[in-house]
Amino acid sequence: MQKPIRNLAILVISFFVSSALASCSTATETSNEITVAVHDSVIISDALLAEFELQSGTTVKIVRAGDAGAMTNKLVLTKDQPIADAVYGIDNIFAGVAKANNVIDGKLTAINYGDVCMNYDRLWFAKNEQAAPANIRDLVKPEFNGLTVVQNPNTSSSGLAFIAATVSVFGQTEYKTYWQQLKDNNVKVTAGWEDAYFTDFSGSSGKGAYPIVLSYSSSPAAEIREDGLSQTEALLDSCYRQTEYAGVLTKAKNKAGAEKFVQFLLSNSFQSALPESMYVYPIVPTIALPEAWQQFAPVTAKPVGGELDPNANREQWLKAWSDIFAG
Amino acid sequence: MVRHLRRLALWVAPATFVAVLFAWPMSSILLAGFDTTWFEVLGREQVLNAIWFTTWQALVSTILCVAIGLPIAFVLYRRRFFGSVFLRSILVVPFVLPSIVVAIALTNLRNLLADSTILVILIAHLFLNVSLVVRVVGTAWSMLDRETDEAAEVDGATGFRKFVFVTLAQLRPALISSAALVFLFCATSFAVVLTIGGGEVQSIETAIYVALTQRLDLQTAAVLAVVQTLITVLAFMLTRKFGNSSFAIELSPEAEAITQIRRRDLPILFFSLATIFLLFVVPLGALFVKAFTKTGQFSIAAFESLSGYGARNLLDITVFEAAGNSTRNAIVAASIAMAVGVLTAWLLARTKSRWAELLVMLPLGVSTVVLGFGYLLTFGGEPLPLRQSWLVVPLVQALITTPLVVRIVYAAIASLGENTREAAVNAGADSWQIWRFIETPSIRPALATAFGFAVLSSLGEFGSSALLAYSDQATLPVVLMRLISRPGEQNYSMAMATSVLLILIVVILVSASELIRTRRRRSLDA
Repeated sequence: MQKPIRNLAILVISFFVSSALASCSTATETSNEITVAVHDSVIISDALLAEFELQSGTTVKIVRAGDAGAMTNKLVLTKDQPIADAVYGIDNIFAGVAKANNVIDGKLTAINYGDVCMNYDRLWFAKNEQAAPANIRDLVKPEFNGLTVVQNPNTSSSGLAFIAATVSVFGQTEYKTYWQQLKDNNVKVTAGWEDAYFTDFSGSSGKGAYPIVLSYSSSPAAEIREDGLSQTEALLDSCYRQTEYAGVLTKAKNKAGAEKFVQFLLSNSFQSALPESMYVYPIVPTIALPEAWQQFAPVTAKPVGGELDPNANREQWLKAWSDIFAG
Repeated sequence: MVRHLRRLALWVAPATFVAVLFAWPMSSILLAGFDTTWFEVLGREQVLNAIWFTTWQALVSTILCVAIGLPIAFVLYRRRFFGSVFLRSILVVPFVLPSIVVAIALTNLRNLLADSTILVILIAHLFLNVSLVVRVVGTAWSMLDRETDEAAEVDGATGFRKFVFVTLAQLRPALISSAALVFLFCATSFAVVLTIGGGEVQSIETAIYVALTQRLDLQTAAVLAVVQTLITVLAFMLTRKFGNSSFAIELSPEAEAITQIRRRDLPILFFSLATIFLLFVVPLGALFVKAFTKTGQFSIAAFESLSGYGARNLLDITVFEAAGNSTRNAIVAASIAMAVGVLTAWLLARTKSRWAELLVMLPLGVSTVVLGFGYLLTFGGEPLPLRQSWLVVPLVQALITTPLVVRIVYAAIASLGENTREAAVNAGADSWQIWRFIETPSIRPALATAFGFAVLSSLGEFGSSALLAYSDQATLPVVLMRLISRPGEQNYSMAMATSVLLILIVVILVSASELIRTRRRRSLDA
């Protein structure tokens, strides 16, 4: 009987030591440190963080909090004891949620944007001696039967963006007809972008079976082959623009540091790193795009759907979509 | 009386563990979502469909795992042939693979069965969980006395009857234990249902995920979490009813029980090998091919890039650094789970308290998404600001793994039977001596299995690692997910190489522990 009690004592002690350790790590948070919540796809290089530290004397701790939706909702839930001082990566769909719940102190600052567009595999269409689609209306034609893969708008922000694009292109009720036709034309639906792009799309390294995928206007810049050309191309006629914002949290411990960080996100060095690091376009218009981007991932001249309020319409769109695809 | 008090004191550790890390965060998130619309939510068609789908698919998956796991357990743990140790370790691999990698590994199958995603989900559950049945039942089987078989044969009980009335009866605790685990894993299976189901197939867990992360609908999430808990309680009560064996197993050292393949074993051997080949070797092989291919040719470039940060510095830390974090977490999580789990199993074997057993099993049957949000709400500040510490990840992993340890170890202690223990008590041994000199040596294989699964489930665990990942604390599955969330060949092949690395780690770990066990056994024989 002696030994289990000793083991138990060790266990209990180690539990309290570990909790004490945990509290220590928060106690060290001084005014010279900020925590920034970002979504999973945000990339900030060590070099950029070092530059900010040098400039402001503030060190940065990054915490990843899921996709843009999960991150925003976590911020809302924890707004009295926030998980961070600043946030970067709330998109235009969830910006309304953040505002309505008073998560952000002051305003949200736009940092970057990306265009959700259909991509197709040039080589696949060349090999099969078939004309590639010219716009999203083509995708419901018989010759494109069973060739397209999209993301589920219930679980993916690019999926939701594409609904917005179709509402804008086809109209408030006609977009449902388009989706019904897409479904009848055997469009494939995946939960997330990763699965669609890497498992199903033929133009990526996953070498899947579908030559048309819902992705971004910048994706072709990542598929440049040995001949110097991109294997894929985006349909630029009906892209939905996703803008991402940064802001200071209402109950931030270090508001001054957080504000400096938001300003830093607009600096030249951060903005010019955006295309290479995050596959998005910088919000500051004077920043030049990399050469490959000018050729293969140009900015969409006329994005669609900017007039719609995604937060107000989301429930209704999702319901219409689910009614079509559940049936 | 004194003994009872001591035992009560020992309960403090597991009780505190479950209360602080589980009951507290769960109740705070449930309370946050509590309101009077609960019944209205419960009546929604979508919610009812999710509950129905979750229950039946978990049942069918469990039946599949048991039906296919039993013959494989027999072949791999009751018979000896070249390569059996390697095959044992292969089966465990899917347990640690992130779901997106499982989805990629099963690409061919998914294309083949494109019209029936639900069938693919069932097969994926088989792929992920059959090893639990094979290992838990196999370990128990390997310790069964051959003479019992032979005695039954002499009595005229042959073939099927002997199998059902003698062998199965003795294996019942292990069988029920592993089936219960598989059921709970499948009932709370999340990423596989989401990925393979394309977000269109709704289970309780995916519905919770969508409600919490996309809609901030706390009510729906809370209702579903309560239903999930009820399903766990129900499953538990059923296993209690059928699981407790009154048969004492005659244990014998493994070496005696295991024999060479005989002619009449050939059909079952063929079935098992074919299943392993189609279900495991082909999909996992596909990952190897992808990892070793660059622009259509053999290449090890992907592995060379693992010490870097990916194309365009995608990663915060290198894959090797992430492997370090994963290893640290796995060791911490598995040690805590073993300490709490074995103590609990030991206490359970003595008190047989149904309620205590249920309480320690609950964390397994509950949504990690809900738990994660509960942690955010609960551990933000005083008195326990756990949220900011790296320890939160191994602690959650330990919490989820402890029931696994309890089940495996408890089943082993239970199958020892009362006779040995009573004999020892009569001879004047105290509890500690019985544990140290009688129980521990007999259940050593089960302890090894439990520790192995604890390490593996921590290595592969993604939900809590993704909970609030400070960028320098990323684990292998988290890094893998990041790599695969960007277009471009280098990141994709790095992700595949990372998967291969995970697979190799598992195969080496499991094979090594099997070999050490075999060698020790042989030296005992000599």
